[in-house]
Amino acid sequence: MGKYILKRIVSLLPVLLVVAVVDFIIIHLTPGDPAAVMLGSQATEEELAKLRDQLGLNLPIYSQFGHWILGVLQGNLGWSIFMDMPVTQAIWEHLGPTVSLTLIAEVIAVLFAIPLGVMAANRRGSWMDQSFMMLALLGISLPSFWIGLNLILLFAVQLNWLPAAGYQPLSSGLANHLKYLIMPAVSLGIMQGALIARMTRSSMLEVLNENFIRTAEAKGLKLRVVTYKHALRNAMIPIVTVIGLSFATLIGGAVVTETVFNIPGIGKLIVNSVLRRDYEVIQGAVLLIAAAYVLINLLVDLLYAYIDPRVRYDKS
Amino acid sequence: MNKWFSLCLTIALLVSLIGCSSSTSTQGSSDGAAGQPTDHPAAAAAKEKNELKVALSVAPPTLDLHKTTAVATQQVSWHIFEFLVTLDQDYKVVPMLAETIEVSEDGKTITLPLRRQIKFHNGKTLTASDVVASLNRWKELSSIGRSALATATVSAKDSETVQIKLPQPSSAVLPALAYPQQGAAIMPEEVIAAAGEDGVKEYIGTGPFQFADWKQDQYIHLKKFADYQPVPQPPSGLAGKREALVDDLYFIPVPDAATRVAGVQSGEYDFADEIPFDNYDMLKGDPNLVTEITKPRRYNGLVFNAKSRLFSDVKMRQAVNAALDLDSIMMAATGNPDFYRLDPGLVYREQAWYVDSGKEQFNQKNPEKAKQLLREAGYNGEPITILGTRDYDFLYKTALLVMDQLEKAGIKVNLEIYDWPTLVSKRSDEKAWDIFFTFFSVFTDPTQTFYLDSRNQWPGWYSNPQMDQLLDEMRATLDFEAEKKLFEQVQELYWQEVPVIKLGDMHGLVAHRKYVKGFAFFMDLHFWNVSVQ
Repeated sequence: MGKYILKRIVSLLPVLLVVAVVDFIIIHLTPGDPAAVMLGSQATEEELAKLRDQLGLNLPIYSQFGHWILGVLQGNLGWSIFMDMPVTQAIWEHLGPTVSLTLIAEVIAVLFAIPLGVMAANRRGSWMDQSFMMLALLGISLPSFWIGLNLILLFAVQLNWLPAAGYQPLSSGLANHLKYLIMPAVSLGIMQGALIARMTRSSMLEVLNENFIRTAEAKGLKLRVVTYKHALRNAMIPIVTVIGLSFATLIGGAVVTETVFNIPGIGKLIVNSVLRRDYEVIQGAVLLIAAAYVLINLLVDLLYAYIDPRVRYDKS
Repeated sequence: MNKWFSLCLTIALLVSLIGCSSSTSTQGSSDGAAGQPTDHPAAAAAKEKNELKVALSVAPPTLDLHKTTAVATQQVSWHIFEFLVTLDQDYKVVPMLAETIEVSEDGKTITLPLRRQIKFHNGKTLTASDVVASLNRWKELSSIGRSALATATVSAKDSETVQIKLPQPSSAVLPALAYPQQGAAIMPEEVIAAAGEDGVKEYIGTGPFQFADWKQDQYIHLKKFADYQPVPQPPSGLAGKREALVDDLYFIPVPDAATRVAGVQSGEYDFADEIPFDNYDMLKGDPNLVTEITKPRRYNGLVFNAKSRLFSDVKMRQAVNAALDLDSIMMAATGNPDFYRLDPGLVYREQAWYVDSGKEQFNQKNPEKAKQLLREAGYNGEPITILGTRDYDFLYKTALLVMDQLEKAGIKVNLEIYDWPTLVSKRSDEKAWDIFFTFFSVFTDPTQTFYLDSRNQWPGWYSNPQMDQLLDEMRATLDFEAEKKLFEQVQELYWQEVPVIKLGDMHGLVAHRKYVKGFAFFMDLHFWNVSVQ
């Protein structure tokens, strides 16, 4: 197991290198530069040229890349021109809201999706199955920004129960923290939950047709035991995969939701940095997301072994 | 259990959907209703805390006012920094940190005695050496500062008096010192000395609010400066008594317009800037809100590449100017006649400088004349390139309308859409474009209209020695009426040569909670003398 984990972590390095190179090239091929954003639209060409020079934007692209990648190898992701702080600090400051939002959204999604998926599978073809799956389809189809805006209109503007937008850290109190995150988490969780529910249903249906389930039923076990102890556990691998992937996607930035709810998370940081052409922040954040994506997938793979004893990573 | 669960979920979803759809109709029905304003709990808390939360449409790149022309910077920095002189509501230059303005008879010396015992936010008393250091840095960084003070010497006559000596008299110096965008903010000498190329390390001024905290992408927090000493005169424009009536002032960047609107409706924000015009009727009917049309704020312009390609020929530019129907363009940009006005003046009607010379060239709506001018210019149907952007919706709509009208006049158009930073980068390349659209803020003196003066080398690169000479003559003329006569000639020449087509004055829309009192728009947002009652 240890060897396997080490191997996977080492295999992360070429992935990150490829991400770094592609990321750098795409960003630097995009026209526009941060000097224009910094100095405003009425700045003269002379002023823009001077700032570009100061920021090193006139250096050849290979030289800029070399400078940046050397820094990265030493643990320095660069400097945010716009925020005037190290990229690591900028990412760190924006990571908290995204992690909180992702966790709450996932909890909401899993809490609703797995029971719904199981119930739908147990009553395949019934009105309940059809209505749950229709709701799940709706959840996948409705854009999260639309759900978000409607939640704002209802719970913030009309009912005045929740704040329309913004973020309060956990240090301001759990209730306050949740008050700001519950609506964005629901609007995100609906889509992720819909995906998980559909996956749960189809995976459960497959398992419910297996012989060992019939055996369990023939032994006279209660439906609940058959469903949750025997069927669900065996159906969990694809479900855990979907949960892991959706978690990794959300960490990568719930871009639209963070924008609609004005949450200062990683997604918003990346969008703002693209608009400001704050190159090193984009590069650093994308690298971090790539790393998080690979690590979460590794975690999911490791979970397989826990869920299904037949899965073993050690040759012995 | 299962039935109960599924029922609950279905009901919850239905209620939410019904609630959402009814929320729109309830909003509509509240128009003109006699319902009592009901504040969000957060709003009540805001009042208790005596704080003001302002939602801005963009985050400022820096608060160092010397460094940038970005509008968001001035919106925040005006509260921290002050100038030697400023503008009253008639756009006249009046003292601010200066006690008086003394101009020598020959116009070559401007003496500015400072008000006594003015404190910086770090506790230090303002002296002439702080002013000299600030003005010298501003002169280096700002194009308006460079242009106005290029040959001037700024010195401390004594510790409480600043003197500006000029080789020739200039009427441009005082308006430049009062120019609020990338303005001549006064900072402590040691802050200027410590500033590197990245800008100042601390935001220390003399304004009614002092810098407290900046959480990137979350808020900029300013707090009341207890030792602030206002001028005794009543408030007028940016001049007169300034008072911090709230203890804490938060500027929150909220780029999404729908979020700004919902935020001010729910009381999460006390004030929201740049409200989309199509929300006007809805918000006007909200008993908890006050909406205000802010003007004059900006004018929209069509900028020609006058240096190379087709529009280096003045007849081509005149042809475009003849073809355009500005009313329909501005209507498309704003969607409501309340938010624009058509005016040929390069300065706003509200300013003493206002003249309407050249008005016969404005808004001609004459495609036939345009075709005639195109023939005279020898236009052969070559496609022109227009740079557009969706980052500012009104500029995008403007681009679409202009494209349509030019095509009707017989000009082939390629419309290229970019995000704003790309457009700004593209426009530097004279071979890449023919027309782009932008907007211009309020100038305190017509000679600051940077696209007229070839020495600014602003994209468009209009260059006419006659125009440069007229601008120089204006700067060298101290008598206001004589200078205004010269400005009439400048504007006449502008409309003949049309380096830029002024499309129309476009106002802004802001909304705030009813309990926010004392807001008065002048040139841009400011929140001194604003209270939460």
